[in-house]
Amino acid sequence: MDSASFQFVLFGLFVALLSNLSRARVWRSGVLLLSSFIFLALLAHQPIVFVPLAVFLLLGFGCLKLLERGWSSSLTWSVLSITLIYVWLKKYTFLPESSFLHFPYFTLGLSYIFFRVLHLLIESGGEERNQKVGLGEYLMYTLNFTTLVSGPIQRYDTFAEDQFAADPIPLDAGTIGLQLERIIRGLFKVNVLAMLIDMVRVDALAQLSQPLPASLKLFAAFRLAVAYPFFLYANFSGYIDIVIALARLMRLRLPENFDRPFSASSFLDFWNRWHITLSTWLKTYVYNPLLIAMMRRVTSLEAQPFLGVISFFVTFFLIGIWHGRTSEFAVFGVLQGGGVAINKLWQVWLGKRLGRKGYKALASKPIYVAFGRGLTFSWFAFTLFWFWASWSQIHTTFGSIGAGGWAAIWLAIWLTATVILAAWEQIRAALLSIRTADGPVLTNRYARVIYASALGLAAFVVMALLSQPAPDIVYKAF
Amino acid sequence: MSPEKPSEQNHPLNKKVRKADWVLLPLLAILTVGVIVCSIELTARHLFQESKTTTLNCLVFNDPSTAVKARPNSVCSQKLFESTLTDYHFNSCGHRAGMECGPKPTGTYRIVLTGSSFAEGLWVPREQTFAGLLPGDLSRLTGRKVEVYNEGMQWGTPHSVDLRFDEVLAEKPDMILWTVTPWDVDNASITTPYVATIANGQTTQAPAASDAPAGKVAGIVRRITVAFQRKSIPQAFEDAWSRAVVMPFNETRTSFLLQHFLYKSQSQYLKHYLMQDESGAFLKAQPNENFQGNLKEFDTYAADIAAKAKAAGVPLVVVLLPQRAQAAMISMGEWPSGFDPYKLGEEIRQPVESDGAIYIDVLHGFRTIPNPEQYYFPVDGHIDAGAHAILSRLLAQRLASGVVPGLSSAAQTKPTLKDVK
Repeated sequence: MDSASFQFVLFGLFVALLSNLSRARVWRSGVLLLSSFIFLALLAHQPIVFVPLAVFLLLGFGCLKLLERGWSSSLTWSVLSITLIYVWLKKYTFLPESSFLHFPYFTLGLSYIFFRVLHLLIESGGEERNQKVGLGEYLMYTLNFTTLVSGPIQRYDTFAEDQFAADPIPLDAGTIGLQLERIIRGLFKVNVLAMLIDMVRVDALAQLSQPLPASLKLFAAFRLAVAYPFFLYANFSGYIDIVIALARLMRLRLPENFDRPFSASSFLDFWNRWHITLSTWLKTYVYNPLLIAMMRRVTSLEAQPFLGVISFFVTFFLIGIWHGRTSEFAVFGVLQGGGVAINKLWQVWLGKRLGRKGYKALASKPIYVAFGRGLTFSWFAFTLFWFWASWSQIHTTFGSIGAGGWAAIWLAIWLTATVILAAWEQIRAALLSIRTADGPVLTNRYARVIYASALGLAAFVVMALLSQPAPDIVYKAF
Repeated sequence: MSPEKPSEQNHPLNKKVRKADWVLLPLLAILTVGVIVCSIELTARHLFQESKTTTLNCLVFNDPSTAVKARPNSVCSQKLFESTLTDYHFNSCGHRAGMECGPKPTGTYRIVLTGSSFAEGLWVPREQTFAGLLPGDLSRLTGRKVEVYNEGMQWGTPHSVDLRFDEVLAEKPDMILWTVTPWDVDNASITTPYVATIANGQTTQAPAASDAPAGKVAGIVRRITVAFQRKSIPQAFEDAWSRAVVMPFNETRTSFLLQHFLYKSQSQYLKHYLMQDESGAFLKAQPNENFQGNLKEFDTYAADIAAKAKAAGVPLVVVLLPQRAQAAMISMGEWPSGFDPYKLGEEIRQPVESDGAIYIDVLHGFRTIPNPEQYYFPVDGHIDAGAHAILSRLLAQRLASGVVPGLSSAAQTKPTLKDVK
C-alpha cells in the first residue's frame, strides 16, 4: 500500500468514490480523515509503532496552539524542538546511538509531516491567520494519505481552500478522464519504465565488479551513470502522478512536483523543475530569510551578489542532507549546494563581463542552452552517486575504471546528453506543433485514450507477468 | 495566493465531453488494446517457434524399472523456442554418446558420464556439449588420450542413475563422472515423470480434472464457494486472479517473449527467481523442510551409487553444476541475506565424500566468469553451448588437478583463469 501498486490505486479510487457521495464539507473531511487512519493501519498493524509519530504530531499541535494564542516568542523554540525531535526520530548518525529509541516504530512519511508542521508553525507565528487550525483539520492536513508517503508538500492554505470549501471544485467527465489517464501514466512509469531502467542500472553495477574488458566496463559505467536520473524521475514522478490524480478525484488539488526537469538548461533552473514543492519550501523558509538577514548585515553593493551564492549553497546543502542520515548524504548536500552556488557565480561573472544584455543574448542561444542542458544532466547524474550508493559501492564503482576512464565517461555523458536532450526538445516541439483548433493533436482526448490504453496494457501485462510487489518509491525512505 | 495551483481551468480537455465520445473513446481504447495484443502475439510467434518433432518420440518414459531411457538406434530432433534445431542420435545402447557402446580403444582413458539433461546436452548439438568438448580439454591438460562416453539422459534423477548404473559399469569406465544439478536433488526419487502422453506421434495433454461435462455454472459457483471456505478473502481473490488472468496469459507467446527479454537481465531474473519459494529453496542458507527431505533422498541414492562404483573398483567423481540464478549470484559475488549459492555444493560434498566418492567443485570457477547467466536459455533454464564450453574447461581443470588417480596434469602447466573465460 505504500507504493504505486494496484491495491493503492484501488484504495484511492474507492475513497474518491466515497468522498463524492456528498459535497458536504463534513462528509468529505470525515472520509479523508478516516481513510487516512485506515491507510496508516494498513501499513502497520501494531498500535505501539505509531506512538512516536503521535507524540511528534501532538507536540506540533501543542506548539501551534501556543502560537495561535499569541505566544509568538515561542516560535524559535517550537521550530528548534520539532526539528530536534525529527532528527532524533530519524536517527541521524551524528547523534549518539544510545540516545535512540530501541524498538521498531513508524517513520514513513515523517519527513513530509515535518515540513507540513514547520510550515504551520512558521506561518502561524509570522502573521495572523484568520482561521484557527483545529485538531481534525491538523490531522487531515498532516496525515492526508495521498501526500503522506512521498509528498508533494502542500501549503495549508491551498489544502484548506479545496478541502473545506463550501462549494468544492467541479469534477466533470473530462476531468475524471484526465485523472484516470494520469493514474495509468503513473502506474506505467513506476511499474514498467522505472523497473526497466533500474534493471539496466543494477546490471551495469554488477558488471563493473566483474573481470570484463575495459571497453565493456566503460560502457557499463556509462549506463550506470545515465540510468539513475531517469529511474528516479520515472519512479518519483510516476508516484506523484498517481497521488495528484487520486486527490483531484477527491476534489483536492495538489501542487505539481515536476516540470520536465531534464529540459533545464542550468542547475538553478533544474531545481525549479525537480521536486518543486521541496525546493519551494526551502526557498521560502531558508533561502529568503537567510538572504534578507545577510543583506541587512552586509551593506556593500559589491558583496551583495555573493550573498545570493551563499544562500543558495546553504539552502541546497540542506536539501541534500534532508535526503538521508549518513555521511554520503552530506556529500550529496555539498554537491547540490556547490552546483547551484557555482551556477550562480557563473551567472554573476558572466553578467559582469558581458553586461545584462550580453548575458541574456548568450543565454538565449540554442547552442548555449543545449550544452547547459547536457551539463546540468551530467552534474545531477554525478551527484546521484552519493544519493543511491554506499561508500563501499562508490569506491568500487569509481575504482573500477580509474580516473581517466571516468573523465572520459563524464565527457561522453555531457556530449551525449547535449545532443539527445536537444533532439528530444526539437522532436517534442515539432510534434506539439501539429494542432487543431482544440490544441495539439497529440494531447487531445483521442490521442490520450490511445496512449493511455497502450501504457495501461503494458503496465498490466508486466505486473501480471512478474507477479512481484510494486517497486518501492525511492522518496518514501526520506 | 500561491504558485502551486495547476492551471486546470484552461485545459482544452476540460471542455464538455461530446455524446459521440462516450461511444468513440471506449471503442478507441478497445481497438488500441486489440491491435497491440494481436501484433505482439504475432511477432512473438514469428520470433519464437518450436519444431513439431520432439525428443519424446525417442524416449521410453513409462517404465519404472529403467526410468526414462532412449530407444536404441533412434534419431530425433527438436527445436525449443529459444534454441536451434538440435539432432539427437542414440546408439544401439540408447545413449547419446557419439560413439557405439562396447570396449574402449586401447590406451584410452574412458570416462563414463552420467546425469540428467545438462549431462545429455539437451538443446545443444552433441559436439558442442561438455561431453563432446571434455576429451579435447582433458587430453590437452594431461597428455593422455581421453574419451567421454555419455550416458546422460533427460530426467536422469539420482534414482534413475541408480537404476541404470549397471549400464554405466558395462562400459568399463576408468572413471565415472556424475554431474548433479539442483533440479536432480529436488526430484531425487522421480523415475517416470508425468509428461504429455504420445499418441500417433502427437503430444496430447492429459484431461484436466476440472473439465466436468455438465453444470458449468454450478461448477463455477461450487468452486468459488469452496475457495472462499478454504481460504481467506484476499487469498481467494489472489487465486481467482491467478487462474483467470495470470495463468491464461502465461500460455501466450507474448508472455514468453517478455520473459525471454526480461530474464536476460541478471538483476531482474535473480529478483524474480529468488521470490519463488520452492524453486529457489536450494539457494537458501536455511533450506526448508521439504528441500531437506529431498536432500536426504539424494544422499540415499548417492550412497547406493557410490557403493556400486566402489565394488566395481572404479572412481566415482561427483560434481554439482550450477543452476542459472546460482551461477549469476556466484559471479556477482554478493547476494541477499538468507541465501548462499555455495550451500548446496557443501551439502552434497559431505555425504558423497563419506561414501568414498570424490567431489569436485566447479562453483567457485564461476566467480571469474562475467555474467554466466547469459549462457543459459533465459526461460527454459538449460545451459547453451557457451556454458558447455565453460563447464568443459572447469571440469578439465579440476579433474586434471590430481584428484583422480591416473588422470593428472602434474607435468603440465597449471591453467590460468584465462583458460576458463
